[in-house]
Amino acid sequence: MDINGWLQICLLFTLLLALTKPLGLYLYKVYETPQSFKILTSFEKRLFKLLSIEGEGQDWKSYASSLILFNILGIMVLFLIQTNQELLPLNPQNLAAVPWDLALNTAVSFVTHTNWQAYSGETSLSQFTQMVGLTWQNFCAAGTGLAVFLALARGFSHQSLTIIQRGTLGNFWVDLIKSILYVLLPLSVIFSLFLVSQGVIQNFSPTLTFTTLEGTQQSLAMGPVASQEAIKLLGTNGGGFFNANSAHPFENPTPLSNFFQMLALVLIPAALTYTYGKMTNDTKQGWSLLAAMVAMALMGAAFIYYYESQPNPLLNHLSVLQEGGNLEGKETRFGIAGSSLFANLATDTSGGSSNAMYDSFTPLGGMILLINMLLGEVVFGGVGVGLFGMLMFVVLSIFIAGLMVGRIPEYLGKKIEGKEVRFAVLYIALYPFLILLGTAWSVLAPFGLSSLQNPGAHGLSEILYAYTSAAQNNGSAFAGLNANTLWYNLTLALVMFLGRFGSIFLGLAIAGTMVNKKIVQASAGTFPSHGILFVCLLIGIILIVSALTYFPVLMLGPFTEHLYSMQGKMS
Amino acid sequence: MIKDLIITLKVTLFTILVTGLIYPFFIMGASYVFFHKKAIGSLIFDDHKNIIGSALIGQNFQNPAYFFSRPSDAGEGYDGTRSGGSNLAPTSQKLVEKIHERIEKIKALNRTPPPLELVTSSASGLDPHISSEAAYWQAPSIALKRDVSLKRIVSIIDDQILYPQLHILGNPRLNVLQLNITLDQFFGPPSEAR
Repeated sequence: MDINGWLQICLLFTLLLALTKPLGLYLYKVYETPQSFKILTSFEKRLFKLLSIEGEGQDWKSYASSLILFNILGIMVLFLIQTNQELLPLNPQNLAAVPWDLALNTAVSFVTHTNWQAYSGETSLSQFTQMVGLTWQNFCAAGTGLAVFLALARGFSHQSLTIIQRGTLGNFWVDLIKSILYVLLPLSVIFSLFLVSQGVIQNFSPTLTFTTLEGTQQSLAMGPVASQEAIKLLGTNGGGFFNANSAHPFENPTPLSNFFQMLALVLIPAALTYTYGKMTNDTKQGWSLLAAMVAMALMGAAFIYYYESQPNPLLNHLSVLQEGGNLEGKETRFGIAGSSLFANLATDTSGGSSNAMYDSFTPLGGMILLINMLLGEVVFGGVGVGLFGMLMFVVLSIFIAGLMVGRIPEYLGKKIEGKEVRFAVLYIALYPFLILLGTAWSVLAPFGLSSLQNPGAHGLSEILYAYTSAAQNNGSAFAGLNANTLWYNLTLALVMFLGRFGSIFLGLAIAGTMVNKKIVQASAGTFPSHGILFVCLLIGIILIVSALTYFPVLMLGPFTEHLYSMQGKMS
Repeated sequence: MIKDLIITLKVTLFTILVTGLIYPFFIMGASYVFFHKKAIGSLIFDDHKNIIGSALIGQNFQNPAYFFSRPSDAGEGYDGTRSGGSNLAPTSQKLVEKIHERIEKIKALNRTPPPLELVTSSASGLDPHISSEAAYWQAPSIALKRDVSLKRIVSIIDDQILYPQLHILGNPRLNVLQLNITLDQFFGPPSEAR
């Protein structure tokens, strides 16, 4: 650990806090006060007419069904692009069609915002598939995330005034198109050009082969990387163009590009907290949620940075200088600090991109990555869905606080009753069900174990990591696990699908019941949903819920591995 | 329902057109105008205009008269079509054995223990850099093989160090390919296999 590393962490969070308000305000204006952009309204009218969108308010059920319909069609189109890529243009390497199970896994993975990659980018997907298929779904998945956040936020904050408005959460199509055109696209254009200025490639050349300085042959895969890289980070998607993801010098060439990639991961999720504050007419609500997120993110970053800087006790008998920390699977240009912070933010958000090999992290460093995801992807989380998940924990916290003082809990003036709490608890119970069931089944089955690269306790971590990443729609991996088998392709696809749409369905159901409730004035007995007390309660509940659920499996996996290595035992 | 299906189809086509086609081609156009060299891969050419590498991608140097890069798990080593790391856990016996073998292979070059990065593989397998410590560690053997004074090699290293960006991002490091090109410029290409 050194001072530069800590300064880098501080600089990142300072910059993030400075950008939260301006971007959050912009988002608020885009979605909630469209009249502030006069030039765009006439363009919008024509576009919506062309797309047959009428823009009427939808209740939660029709909002959810539009969303599912759009995403199912997305999965089908993406599947067909991959399985027919040999017939499509922009395939300079003449790559063959993707096998059906891998294509299905990849299609579900990108549509569900997971971007789990069982394929290897440069050897299995054509440039057309990467660009038209994957880049497209990077935008749509992030746009869908923003839309569900808006629906839930409206459910909490809107007061139905007329019969016509009753129960409506906005229009999915309007939210989606606005998210893509006014938020994701402009930011991506700026960010891709910045990335190209640092050295990220953007071309349609075939693989380049040449003779090196020493006289041997080297081949470099090429492609439209920058355009995908920008939305991969800004949309917290995480599906890299190359197998090595953000570790590949063509995806992430300099420490500066690395710094802004990290910022891009958390930028929109942080800004949304301010947007939420504006929507609820009380910016303190937003700042309190951001405070909880930043506190947990800083804790995670500090732990990972510390553990990754430690020497490996198993190398002590060898004649080698270990001052640099755990350098296996890390790039020289980022160093331990740049890799640790990136890893922390990529698992805090549902980004899941990587600039280092997480499988080679120290046992406890890797455990923090797992915990970041197991918390429920609410520390920033995915674009939109992160704050969406955080609000589920808010509902739960308010409910528990209500139990403690014996009052009917209320949030933003709306009563939280049995129905909402039931949905919130189901939401929170959905993930352990998917993660632990998938892990347990794979550990017991020979076809689950045969994919392991690392034996022993670390093997359990590899499988646990895969199902956690899939259920929480993160997409990062302990990549030693060979996930391109029929078993993992299909089960992980199912887990990703249920994790994504199950949680969205439950959240929208809450939005649907909340939107019809009357707002009552806060009284002296109302538990405030902002301020230090609330932030601490919220963090406490998030930590306790996940600790109680996953403590045993974390002990058997990463913690056992750590104790073994302390005793000098290898696996 | 049919109305919803029509919207779904139209929005799908519209988003593919905008984000899957217009956007990437626009970025390519703009990058070719403003950052052409970078957009095509930061390529380095020799005097005869032949490509000899990319400034961003490491190469697998075997000749002892060149600085060597970190070990690589990309294909057979520095294969730019198969990026990736070892993915071995730090507690795995395989990794410890691999590191041991690599130390044995290079320990004759310098009596002091090598820095860990020279015996561990990077995440991409294409890491173009080594730290300044790793370069200084290799300097005596390069001086010997090139038959020049250690002082000259050290001063070349000093000149080539890339310092942290904005003073805090990254560690002092050197681009191995650039370093070796500079060696050739000063002392000529190495004679075959010394």
